[in-house]
Amino acid sequence: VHGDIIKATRMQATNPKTPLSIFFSKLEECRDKDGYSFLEHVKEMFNRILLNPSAYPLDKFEELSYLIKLTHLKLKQPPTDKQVKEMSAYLSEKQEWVNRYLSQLKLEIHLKMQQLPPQPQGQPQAQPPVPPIPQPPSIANVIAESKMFEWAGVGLGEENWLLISNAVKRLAIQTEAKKIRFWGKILCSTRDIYVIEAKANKDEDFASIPGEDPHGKGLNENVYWITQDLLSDWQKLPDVKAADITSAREIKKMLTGNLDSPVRSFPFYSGKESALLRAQIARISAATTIVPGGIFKANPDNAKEIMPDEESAVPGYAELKGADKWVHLNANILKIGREDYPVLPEGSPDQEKLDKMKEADPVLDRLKPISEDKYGAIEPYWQKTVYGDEQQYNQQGKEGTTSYAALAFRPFRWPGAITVYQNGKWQSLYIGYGIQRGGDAFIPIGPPAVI
Amino acid sequence: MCIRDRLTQSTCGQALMDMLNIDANLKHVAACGDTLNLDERIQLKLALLKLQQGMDFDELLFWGRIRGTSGDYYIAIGLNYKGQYEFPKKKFYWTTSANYEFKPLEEPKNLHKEKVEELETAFTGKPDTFIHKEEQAPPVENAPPVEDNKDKEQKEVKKEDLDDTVEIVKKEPPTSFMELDRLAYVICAIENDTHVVPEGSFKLLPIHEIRRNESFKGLDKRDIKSLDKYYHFRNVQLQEKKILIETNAVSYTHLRAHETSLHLVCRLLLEKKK
Repeated sequence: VHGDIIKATRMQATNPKTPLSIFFSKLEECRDKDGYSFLEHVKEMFNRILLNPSAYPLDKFEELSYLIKLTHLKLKQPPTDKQVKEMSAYLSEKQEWVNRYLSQLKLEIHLKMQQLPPQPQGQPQAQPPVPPIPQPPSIANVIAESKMFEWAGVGLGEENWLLISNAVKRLAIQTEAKKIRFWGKILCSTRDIYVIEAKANKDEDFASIPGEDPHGKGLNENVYWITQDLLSDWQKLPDVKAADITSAREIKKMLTGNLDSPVRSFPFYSGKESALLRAQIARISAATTIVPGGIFKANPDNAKEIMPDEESAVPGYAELKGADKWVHLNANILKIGREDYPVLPEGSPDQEKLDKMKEADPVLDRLKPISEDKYGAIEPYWQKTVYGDEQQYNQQGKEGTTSYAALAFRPFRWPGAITVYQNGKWQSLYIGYGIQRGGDAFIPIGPPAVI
Repeated sequence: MCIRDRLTQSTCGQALMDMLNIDANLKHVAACGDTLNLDERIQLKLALLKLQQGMDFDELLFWGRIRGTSGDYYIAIGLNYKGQYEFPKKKFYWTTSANYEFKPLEEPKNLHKEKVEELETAFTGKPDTFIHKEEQAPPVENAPPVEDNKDKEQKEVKKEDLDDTVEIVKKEPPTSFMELDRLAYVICAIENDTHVVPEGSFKLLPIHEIRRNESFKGLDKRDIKSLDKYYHFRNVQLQEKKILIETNAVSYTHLRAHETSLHLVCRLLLEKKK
């Protein structure tokens, strides 16, 4: 039918005396500034509609007309050599990305375990002393924990969790750290930062700064690895100084993500963004990393250190529901920006000053229960939420009952921090801007221009 | 690509979520660290389907979640494009994690505006919590009596003008300020400041209505990071821009619609994100 219509109109249109041809020639006089005539436009519209009527209902009539005008019946030009180059560059960029992703997925874990020397056959000889098998490092099971965090409404996406999990395992082998976990993510204004926390290795070459905590002690007990792109390498953050922390307490600044840039704030912050980042990580870790009570105990030799309590078992869900059963893992940071006061030499003139400071801001006992934290007049420091069903179930192969509910603790002071407990396992995480709640950032505005 | 507003610290990556594709869409906001757990996803899907039955929307989307200390609020937004001059009509619905049943959210009243700005405490998750309780003789505390009084007041004032007599204008009786009212304010404020859409994702029809642009394939790679390519999804609020639009207005009665480029009209209508 379409063919017949075209044939008929063409015959009438070509014959110069018919009314239709006069009609068409008049229409051709209606042109726009580029010489595109009304007749061509209508023909093109009719063609499109007739070929595919369901795609162009009447509501879309104006839209179709507009789109046809945009293209002006031009044929697609063959690509220029510049476009061809861009295309091949784009394809190779894509291929490179795929290769990087694949390399992140390849994981070869070879934990170096001591092997016993082979027994010589026949004669029983005096056995050489067997060296103790070193303890495998405590590597957090990131993927299992991610399922726990998802119950609490916190997540980074399945694929990202896999990449993070592989990065944690790879760093554990490279650095030979005793304990390693995914610490969290700091959201910045241009590029976000992923952070992994590893227990510092004494063999690492970190120059110790005089007057500050040496590497592996106090606030520098953990070393932090960061990256801004999960497919790239991770870098170590430098150790934290007391001055960084005291200055960070006075400002409220969102990071840009460019770690070498200076921090523009009032009061003046002397370090770069990497120093501010490290200070905030230290503060957040100290304030928000919590563990169930009974897992650790104070070291009998040095009350300021803690060690795992071998005799204890992980408390059950019913016990841990109360906030008083949870304790802070890390020591409190004092006003001077350290965990402990420095020891001055005998007869130092500053001894009195130091004693006054110690009285005003004493070093608190380790493993402080979180129920003692205070925030404001109305709100408690820690908010507790239960996800899932709290019903107690019997366990196969174990005595006692357990609940599969997820229990989440969120501190008010540091929005973004969370600790989740589920069925005998717990983990802390931070995903946020790295700033405290409340208080106004003082950003002085310059005066208007003098005319 | 995640766009974040520093002031309200909210995120609008994939603007709003169509619940049917919730799993795919959640992946896009994963970068910000928040997600919905399995229970929430299923319950919300069902609740939204239930809401859709009674109402007639062009689009019913999941707007987001506001966390509270003893429960969370889940918010849905119903958009009606047809028959609206330019921007669609937005209607909000709320529910809590206690029972997933969406109820309509009332428009925020101007009465408690200053109080909302001062509040720094978290939401509790219980909508009938009193933030500020007013003791008054009539038992009903919410919207209808206040509005009636307002109308009466206006009528009285007009009458007074005509009569040229001086009379003390009756003050509207103060009403209690509940958490649900605060929720309405906060949601409107967040929506006003942070709902952004990429350039070209919506189109303006000649009948002056906005629709989604089906042929929008996404922003160019170079433009993704540029803030110039994102626009607020609401009417223009700056006075200067309003005047600009009025002077450039095209009369559709003369069928000259094709002369104004749709692209230009959209740029004027949609206020640029600063």
